[in-house]
Amino acid sequence: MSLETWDTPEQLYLARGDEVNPLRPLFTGDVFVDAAVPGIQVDGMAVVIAHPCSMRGREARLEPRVLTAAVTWSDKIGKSAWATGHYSLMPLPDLLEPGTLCVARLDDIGKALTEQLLAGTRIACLSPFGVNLLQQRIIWRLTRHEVPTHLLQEVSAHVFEEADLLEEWNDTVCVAGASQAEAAAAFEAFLRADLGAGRTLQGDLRDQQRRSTVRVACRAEAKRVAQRS
Amino acid sequence: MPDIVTSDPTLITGTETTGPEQVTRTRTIDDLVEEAGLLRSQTRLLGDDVAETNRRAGEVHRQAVARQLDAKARGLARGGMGELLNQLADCGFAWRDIAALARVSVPAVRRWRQGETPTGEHLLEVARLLALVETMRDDHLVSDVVSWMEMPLAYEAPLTAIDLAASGRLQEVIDVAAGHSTGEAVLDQWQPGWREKYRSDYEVFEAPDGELGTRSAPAQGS
Repeated sequence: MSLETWDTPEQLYLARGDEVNPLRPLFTGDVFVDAAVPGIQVDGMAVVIAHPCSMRGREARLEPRVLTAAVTWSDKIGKSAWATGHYSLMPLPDLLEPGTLCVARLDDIGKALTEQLLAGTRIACLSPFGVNLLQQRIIWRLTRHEVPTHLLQEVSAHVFEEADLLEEWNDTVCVAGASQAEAAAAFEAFLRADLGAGRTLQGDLRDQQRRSTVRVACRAEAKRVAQRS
Repeated sequence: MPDIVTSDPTLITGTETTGPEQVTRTRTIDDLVEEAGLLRSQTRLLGDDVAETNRRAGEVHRQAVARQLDAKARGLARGGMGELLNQLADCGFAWRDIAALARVSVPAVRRWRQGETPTGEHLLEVARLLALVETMRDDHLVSDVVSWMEMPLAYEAPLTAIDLAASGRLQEVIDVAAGHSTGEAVLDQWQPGWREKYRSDYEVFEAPDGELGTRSAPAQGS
């Protein structure tokens, strides 16, 4: 048994610090400061660990609370040690400063208020690999079952893709004057529109071979929506 | 009715005849073993020569392809980063894949999209990707390049031509597209042990709530 590790810390993050796009939708692996986690902390860093599918309810609206884990500074732990130990933690190397280590404490979890998280400061977004690694460690911690990250990627690839597309949509549409909520609603409507025989662009995202076509369609529609705004 | 004279193989009908074979001695089983062994050695050496020639031809071809991509990329780079990114976006590339192929972060690509000036090296990396797309489309008739590049190289592993290209192996991507190599052969070179690494007893399936999940895969043959 050996959990997976990383080659460089950069592999774990989509963005950190100033590079985090405020127009990116809330997603698994987002790290916030000033997050209250009920029963655990009234303040401090926290990472969203809820599965993307359980964070949103009807019409893709965010649930009022999302599952988070507390994040704290840690003494240095060598990279190789993560493969066979420290199962209650998720490593977040170089999260705040190069050469330092923070960890998500996977036993210290609770449902944080979504509104409070969104009003706070997001300091990092994990990459798909980072999210898969987080999920691998949570699954191991809770069940002693080892799931390879490539399998987790296969399950979640379409939701990673959707989050990326919504971020890009927001970049185009919000710059033209739409609010983030309006942009998200228009995106959902476009992605879920029936293309005939029950087919939707959202469904097409599950098919690896159709994703490029969905991206092209979303980019073209975002430009049209932006021009109308 | 057949001609009884010409159809009789025992009759000599022509003027040319062959003399009886000169047999000095009867070949033994040892002679046959030696002759067959020699033949095998000769064919093996011939096979080795062919394989070596094929390997060298492959190397020369890949070097030539790399130079061709480089030359194309230098031409394309003249259009600037904005134009390159627009064309790649129109092909359907994900920004995260463009970032991986250019060896930068996703936010860096976002800044380029917003007008930040890239380094010359990064400009050339992105132009090389567009050159790859054009080569595959124009020379190897891959109609939807991005969709093709997002297909797994082999059934048993999730690695794609995008991953291959992101590791700097653009020539091998062309090799597979051109039919000079297979996905499996390229993976054997690039990631020895890939079959073992990606072997899984689990499969992805659609759960009753419509979302995807994993479960034990049915045993082979069941």
